Amino acid sequence: MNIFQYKKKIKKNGLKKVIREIMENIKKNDKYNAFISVNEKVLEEAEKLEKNGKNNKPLHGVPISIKDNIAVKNQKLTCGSNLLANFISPYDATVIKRLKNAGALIVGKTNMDEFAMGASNEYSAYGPVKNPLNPEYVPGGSSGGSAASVSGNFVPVSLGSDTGGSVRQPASFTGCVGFKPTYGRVSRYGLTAFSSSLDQIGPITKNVDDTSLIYRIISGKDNMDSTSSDRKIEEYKENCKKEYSIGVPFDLIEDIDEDIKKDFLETIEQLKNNGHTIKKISFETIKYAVPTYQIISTAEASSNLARFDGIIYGNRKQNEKNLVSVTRDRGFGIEVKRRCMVGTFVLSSGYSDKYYKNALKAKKIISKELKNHFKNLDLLALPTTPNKPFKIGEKSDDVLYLYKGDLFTIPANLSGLPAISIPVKKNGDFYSSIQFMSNSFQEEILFDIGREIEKMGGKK
Amino acid sequence: MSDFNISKIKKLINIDLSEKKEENIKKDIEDILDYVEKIADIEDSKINYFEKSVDVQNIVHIDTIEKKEYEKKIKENFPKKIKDYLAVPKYLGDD
Amino acid sequence: MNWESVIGLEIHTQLNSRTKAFCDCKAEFGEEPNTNICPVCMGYPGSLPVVNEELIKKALKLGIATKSKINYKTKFDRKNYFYPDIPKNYQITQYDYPICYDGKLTIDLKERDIKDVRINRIHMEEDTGKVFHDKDDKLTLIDYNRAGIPLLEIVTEPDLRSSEEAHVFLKELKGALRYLDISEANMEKGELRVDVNVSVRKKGEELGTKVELKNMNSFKAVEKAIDYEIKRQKKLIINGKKEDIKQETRMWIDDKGISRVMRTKEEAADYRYFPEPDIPAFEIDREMFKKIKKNKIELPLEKKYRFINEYNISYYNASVLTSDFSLSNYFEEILENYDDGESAANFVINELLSLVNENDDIIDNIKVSPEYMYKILKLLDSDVISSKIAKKILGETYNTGRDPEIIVEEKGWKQMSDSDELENIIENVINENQDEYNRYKDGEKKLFGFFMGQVMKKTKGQANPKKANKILRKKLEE
Repeated sequence: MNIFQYKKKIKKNGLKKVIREIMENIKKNDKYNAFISVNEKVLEEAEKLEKNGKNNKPLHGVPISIKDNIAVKNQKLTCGSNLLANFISPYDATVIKRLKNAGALIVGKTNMDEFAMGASNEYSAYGPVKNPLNPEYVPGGSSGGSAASVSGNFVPVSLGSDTGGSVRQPASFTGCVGFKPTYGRVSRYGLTAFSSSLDQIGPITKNVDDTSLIYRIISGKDNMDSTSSDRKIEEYKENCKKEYSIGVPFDLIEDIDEDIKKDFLETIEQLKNNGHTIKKISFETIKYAVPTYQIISTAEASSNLARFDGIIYGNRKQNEKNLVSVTRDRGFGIEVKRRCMVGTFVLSSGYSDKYYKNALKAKKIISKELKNHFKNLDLLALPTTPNKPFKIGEKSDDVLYLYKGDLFTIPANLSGLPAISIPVKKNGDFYSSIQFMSNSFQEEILFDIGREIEKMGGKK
Repeated sequence: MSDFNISKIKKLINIDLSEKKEENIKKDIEDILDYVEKIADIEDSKINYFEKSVDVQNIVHIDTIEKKEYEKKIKENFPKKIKDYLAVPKYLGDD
Repeated sequence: MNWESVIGLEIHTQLNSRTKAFCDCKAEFGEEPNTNICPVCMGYPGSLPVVNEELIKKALKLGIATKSKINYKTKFDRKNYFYPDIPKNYQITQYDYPICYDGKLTIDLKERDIKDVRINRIHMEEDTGKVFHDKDDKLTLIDYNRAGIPLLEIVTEPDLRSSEEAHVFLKELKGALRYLDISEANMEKGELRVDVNVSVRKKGEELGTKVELKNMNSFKAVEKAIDYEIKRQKKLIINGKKEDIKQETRMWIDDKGISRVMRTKEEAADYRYFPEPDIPAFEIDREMFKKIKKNKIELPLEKKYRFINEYNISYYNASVLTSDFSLSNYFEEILENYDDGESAANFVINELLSLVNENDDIIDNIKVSPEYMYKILKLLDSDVISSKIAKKILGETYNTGRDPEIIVEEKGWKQMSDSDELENIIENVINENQDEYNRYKDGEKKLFGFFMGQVMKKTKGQANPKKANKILRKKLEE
């Protein structure tokens, strides 16, 4: 069900009944392990909402799940980690405040790869998440729980975080719409930082209209976030055209999964038939994308995660002099340790120039090339992932496989450009998805093309 | 092949890995570092930190006190507390 | 032997702003522990720093006052290290683009012995929490009220040549920081912290090994620590053990008067500095900068020499008057109407300041306005009152805030200056005290004071002392 359908149901059956059903559903049927915790107070909150009378708020009573690295006041904030197993956040993230002000109800916190480091949700201290489309397979990551909660029909919307594709890729793997706004559009205040210069919060939904609605509510300048932009949010359909010029780097999709490739090319043909102009483009600097991402994100993460030491909060492991190193050894999973170590190394004395500083340069070069394309193009199109979902446990030993799977999603994070992933065609259990990027602050164009893709019949 | 010195990094990042775990993680990390080596052939120009890559404005806070009442909850989260101080093992952090 | 000490200072000063550097918690300690804390300064997951406008403004103020170059394009960086008093396990500071650099502070060791001490850099950063080591217990206690309070770090070039110069520099800097309303800069309160770098060489030879000194809690301690270190290094060199001077950090132990090794440079931490991603690199707002430059404040040393030259007052008086910003302004206001700088200076310093100190007041709050001071001085100059009376009037005005001229009228405190009147009184005094008169004539000249005393008693202290003195002398010698 999407937001519109939920609101209808709430009007018909009453808010408390609907919420009760949702909570029952989660408690009984979450065999996908999508949720880490549920909001025990949600019925009280629903009552309060009803009492306030006015039900003209845009998200009145709409149940939303939140990735467990986004702070919700008085709810757990585990970030998928042992180190924060019993940690309760004393404050709401700005996006949560905005959702609550719009009448939404937070039903629970969703499972994720620990500290958002992963692409399959197999690196959670709370067990792997299963893909609702086929529970033997991964749902993608790191927002795997968020994607499963929507794909499994527990809630119509979930908020996740996207650093290298962590919203778009699991959305794609589970047949949902995933969206990452322009860097700076949505406040990061309350999002546990993984890679500060790349992180953005984005919704996972069943359709583009819901994405656009949530986006309007959560975006906008925030004085608590020095990286948030005060650029005005566009009007509905601002800057949209009847026909777009769409750039496609055909060379890059030569060696990807055959089905994904076929479905992507078919979709491109259809767009051409609809009147859009397809241009072949090159993307020279993409060869630096994954290494650049690895270096910058691990470097920033190694510093952002230093605060997790069991001293001021968290799961302190003992009260001896080696309290910190033991707490971190026992509290962090293997992937987090790997990335923090790589990140520390690339910043360390004698190596920082070769790795970190060069990665900053590469980031600029990649950004420049992409933005250059947008001088003559409205959109850039690519598949969301080069690969299909794989079975849980299948790729556990292949560290590099997961990193390379981010190839098509990483450029949007490195350049700060907005991107949306929409399912186009079902193949067996799963869907092929198409991803569009637009120039900075042109989210309306993405929603516009997204709606067109939906109409073309890929989904609903 | 990189010069990854795992004991030095362990200390810097303050994670107490046992030697057994060290071997496994070292191999993975070296693989990752090999993979990112290609970054080294970026052209040799000086980095400009001030080129605005994203459209963000200078945000500052005005020097007025905003009392938001977090102290109680933060103190509740202290793993160990003595009166109102946070308590840690003596000389933690001193080498 | 011709020795030369080469000394540089690294100073941290805590700003007197109301809020912390990156959040709007109250920036004041001395309160109950852990009361001024929030998710941002406590490094909670999801928290983000937002720069305090005052931190930037005060850094610029100091930069302009020290004639520094300004990095209009500047940024913050992270300094990564683990310690319990630093919640995020990194400090937000500035590494390679400090907001100010290449400035100087002028000091004078004595009148006209002026020296420029170059300032290498001034940059912005945040303070850490405070750690308390419990003597018996196995625990360390931490108060985070101080975590996140804004700091300015000031690093000098090694231009200082003695402990005395270092002391004078610190005094001058403290005066400047107070004038600029940046910090009270009390070392005893931790508002000013000083680390020193010392090396020693024979003149003409290459620079010696630099040793860092920490843990001095007063200007005096800084002086003592420097002297101890210079002595220690000289001794080693003289005994042919120059190699034993290692580049190390030594902790000063004041109650024993010695220093002890803390750590050597080989163990120096790798801080992995990188640009703070949560605060984008920025450009100083030109309008704000212009405003600050326009309101430029004259530093104590400049003012001192200007007072000496413009108002013809002594070096000592100028030093005292410029030791406090409000006092210096107060003094200048008096001189808007009054010409005799030295008289005014003496009266303010000797009479007014003692009252202020006795009453534990500050110059900003007293009831004696500069205009009133001027009036008292004018009354003195025109001989309407004596200096004794002037003191009385000052006391009266100090307590009541009433106009001195009115007080003189009401209390009838005008000096008795009429020669005839005085002569009369003096004759009476002499006649009434024939014994003493005879003794005086016999040679006990000391009794002059007795007679003056009697004259004053008879005139209730209002005889014009100079005149009375003259007439009395004449009468006694007759």
